[in-house]
Amino acid sequence: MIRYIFFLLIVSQSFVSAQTVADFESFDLERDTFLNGSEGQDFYRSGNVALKVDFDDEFNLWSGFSISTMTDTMTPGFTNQYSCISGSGVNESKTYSTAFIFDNAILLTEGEAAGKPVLGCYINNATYPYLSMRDGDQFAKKFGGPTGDDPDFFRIKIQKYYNGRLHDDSVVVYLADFRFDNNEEDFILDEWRFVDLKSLGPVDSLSFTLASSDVGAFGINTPTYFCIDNIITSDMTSPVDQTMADHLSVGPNPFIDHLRIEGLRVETNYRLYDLQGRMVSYGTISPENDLIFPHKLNNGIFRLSLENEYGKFFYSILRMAN
Amino acid sequence: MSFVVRIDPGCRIQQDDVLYRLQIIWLIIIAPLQDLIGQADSVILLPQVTVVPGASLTTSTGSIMETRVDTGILDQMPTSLDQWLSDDGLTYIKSYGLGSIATLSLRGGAAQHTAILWNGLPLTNPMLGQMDLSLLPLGLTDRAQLVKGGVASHWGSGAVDGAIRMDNMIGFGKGLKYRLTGNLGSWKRSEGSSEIHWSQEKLSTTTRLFYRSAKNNFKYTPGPGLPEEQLENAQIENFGVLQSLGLKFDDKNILSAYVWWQDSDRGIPATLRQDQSMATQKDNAFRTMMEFRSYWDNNVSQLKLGHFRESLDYRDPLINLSSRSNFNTTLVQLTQQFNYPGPWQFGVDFRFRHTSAYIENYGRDVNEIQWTASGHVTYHNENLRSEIRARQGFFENRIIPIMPSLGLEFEVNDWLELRSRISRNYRVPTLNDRYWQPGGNQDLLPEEGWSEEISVIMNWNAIDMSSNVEVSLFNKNLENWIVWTPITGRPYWGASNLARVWSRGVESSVSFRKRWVDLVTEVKGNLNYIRSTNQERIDQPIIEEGQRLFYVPEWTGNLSAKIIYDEFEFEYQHNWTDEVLGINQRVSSFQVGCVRSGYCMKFEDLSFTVFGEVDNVWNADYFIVEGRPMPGRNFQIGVSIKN
Repeated sequence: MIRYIFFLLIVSQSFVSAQTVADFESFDLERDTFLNGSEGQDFYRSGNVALKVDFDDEFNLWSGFSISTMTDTMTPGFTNQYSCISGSGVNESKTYSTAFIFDNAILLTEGEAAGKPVLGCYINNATYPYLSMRDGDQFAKKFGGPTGDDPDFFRIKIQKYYNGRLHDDSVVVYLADFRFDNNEEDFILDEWRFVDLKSLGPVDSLSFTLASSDVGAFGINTPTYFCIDNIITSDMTSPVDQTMADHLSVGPNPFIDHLRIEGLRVETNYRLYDLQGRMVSYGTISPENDLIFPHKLNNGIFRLSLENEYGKFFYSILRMAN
Repeated sequence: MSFVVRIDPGCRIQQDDVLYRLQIIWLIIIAPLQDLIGQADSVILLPQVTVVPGASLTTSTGSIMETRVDTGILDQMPTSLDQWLSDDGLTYIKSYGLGSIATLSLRGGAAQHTAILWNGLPLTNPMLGQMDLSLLPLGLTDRAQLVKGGVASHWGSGAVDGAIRMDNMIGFGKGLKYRLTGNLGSWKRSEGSSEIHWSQEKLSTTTRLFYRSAKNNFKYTPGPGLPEEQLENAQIENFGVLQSLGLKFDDKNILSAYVWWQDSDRGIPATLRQDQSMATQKDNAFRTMMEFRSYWDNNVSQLKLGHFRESLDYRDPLINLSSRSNFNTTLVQLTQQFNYPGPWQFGVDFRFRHTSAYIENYGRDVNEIQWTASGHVTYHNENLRSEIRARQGFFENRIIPIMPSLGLEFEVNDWLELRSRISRNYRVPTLNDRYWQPGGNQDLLPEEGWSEEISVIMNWNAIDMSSNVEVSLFNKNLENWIVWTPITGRPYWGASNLARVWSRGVESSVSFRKRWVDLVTEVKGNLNYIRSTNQERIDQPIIEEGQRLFYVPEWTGNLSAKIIYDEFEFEYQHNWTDEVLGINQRVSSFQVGCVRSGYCMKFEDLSFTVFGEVDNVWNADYFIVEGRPMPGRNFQIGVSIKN
């Protein structure tokens, strides 16, 4: 009960502003294991994002996003391609995602985050490129070169697809940067770094591409891997719809057996979801009939979706009955 | 009958001046032509010359050939195939460092475009389509020969730009002969080889042993202004034994057999792009072959059977990688040559090759059958020799387009000769190209194309002087060049027949030799301009239309000067290589000088030779392959004893 109240305190600032964190812990993998699409998945879903993975059954090759609990921070080379250099996810969580980018990697927003801004995510180096950049390998150079002065870099460019179009706006994250005049400022990222993605605005999906200063005739020599965790999606309405949302009021909260939606101007479809994403109630309400009577609900947090000609609005509500 | 002439090994040929000159002339001019023509009826038996069955009936009319014959004092020094080709400036050798992998680029082609032959059988690794030349010690063979130009109609797949022949020969009636050579050098280099030969009229046996080890932990400067570093994990250890047996049933029927076992273990040093390397590579080869040659009337029949079993074990404990590959090759060659009296000759041959290979990335054992059949007609008179040849090949139930060639050699006068050759050549895709998972493409076509060349050869000979000038112009177009490129929608690269390559150039060489009473001076030089360009734009790997091929220098040159005084020889060689286009960066041009000297002492039937060499005498910092430093000034000294 206390946690429900605590949650309400967080979300009560605005019922229409909510966040979901994709932390991949729900995969419940054992330590030092990974999923790479070989089990037939096209996407790995966590929170309100879906991460694309491609697995080639013929040759047992993968690209895109894997789910990993690998902890090896010492072994160089592609035999250790799923590990993160910090040996864990954000805040030493067990699970994270390692991406191998052959062309690009795609992250979809979905559910209540579909078409909404992605607030941010945490990025880190995978062990394979980290050790390759630090020590060099048979194909890729040691960053900085023999003198340490080479202006090397390894970076991710994050762009958004929205309304079917790849936008030029991008967020660039440096996984390694040796371009500083003072070599002491050079770094290879070895801890989780938060990346603010709000500037991209609403997105349907995110595209991740990698670039390196170490490029030859065969493309990037640096191993094209990175790790991602705790992707924070926003479930709030877009600014355009905010005016309409401001006129709506959902209550009581907590509720027992019914909800009233005040401020409706037009007929509106509603859907009620539990935290596992299962729809537990649905129907249509209007300015004349603005009550919802969901049946046989357990106590807990639910997500209410309202959709009409003005847009789609989300609310977090708590059912609390004796 | 067809014979090849071998000069008896000796620290110096012991004849009077006239015979000595005759032999020199023989070596420089007649012997190559003899091999070229391969006619028994024109063999000249010189004193001190042993006639032995030749290793191959195959000729290549119209081609330029370079033959190494160990007759001089300095020729006693142990060397591998790549060192010979590199030191003499005969072709560009792409060496990854001292004792490391070495491949060649002949006439602007890739390593896969030169056939490597041992007694006429292809040594080339069928998985890679090339051969590591550093693993081929010349001390295990009697003769090495470089044939330039398209000779696929002679030797089949891969002989697009030429061929390297390493031949063993069986001698009879020579009694007991032996040779021991040992040398020590910088970075704990030690090398030894021995050869024991015994033969009587009907039976012959030769045992050759070879050993080489070195730490190769030389210091190098990684870049301008940077402190010296020491190369680690560059050690090598090679051991090999080659046993030859010959049985002469009678003067017309000779059986020879060879067993060659070799083991190599070496470290793969870190490149300049990485901090350390613990990678190692072990190469093991067990090669057997048997040849039966029968002379009847004016005809020669030859049957060769060979079986090669080779493995490569690459390990990198740093990245937990272990990769082992192995292959077995069974070869059958049947050759029939009809030598009718008169100007016309005919020949046919049939070649069969079965390869079975395994590497984890194939996912299964791969078996492949190739067979080819060829025929040729030659016409020769006093001044002209011409040859038409054609080879029809099949692999994996697919027909390879017929590969014809036409060669002409015309002696304009005593000192001028013209040679010309036009040929169609091909290379069957390697097993990796077809079966590697992922990306192997079993639908690949053979690379194929035409090459043309014309050569002018001038020789001037006098009692105490000889000189030679050769200039060759060549042109080659190769279609269906196999390139690995990214496959759309797949996370890997795959092989395809995407590229077209155009190679053209001029090769020239000059030599001058003069005798001043007891002193002989010799100057040689060669200068080559080769431009080899891609004719198709490819997105990845990034190749622009008209771009030069990777690791093919446009200019290479070599100049050497030698003096021979009594039993003393001194030689300086200077090589210059133009910059090349590397995968990640250009590799600068470089010049390397080398000094060699030797002295021979005679004790009755025994000759004792001391020799020494200073490589990279000017201590140049240079690279042949990007990120792979080459050694600075280094030394070796050795002795050779033989009867």
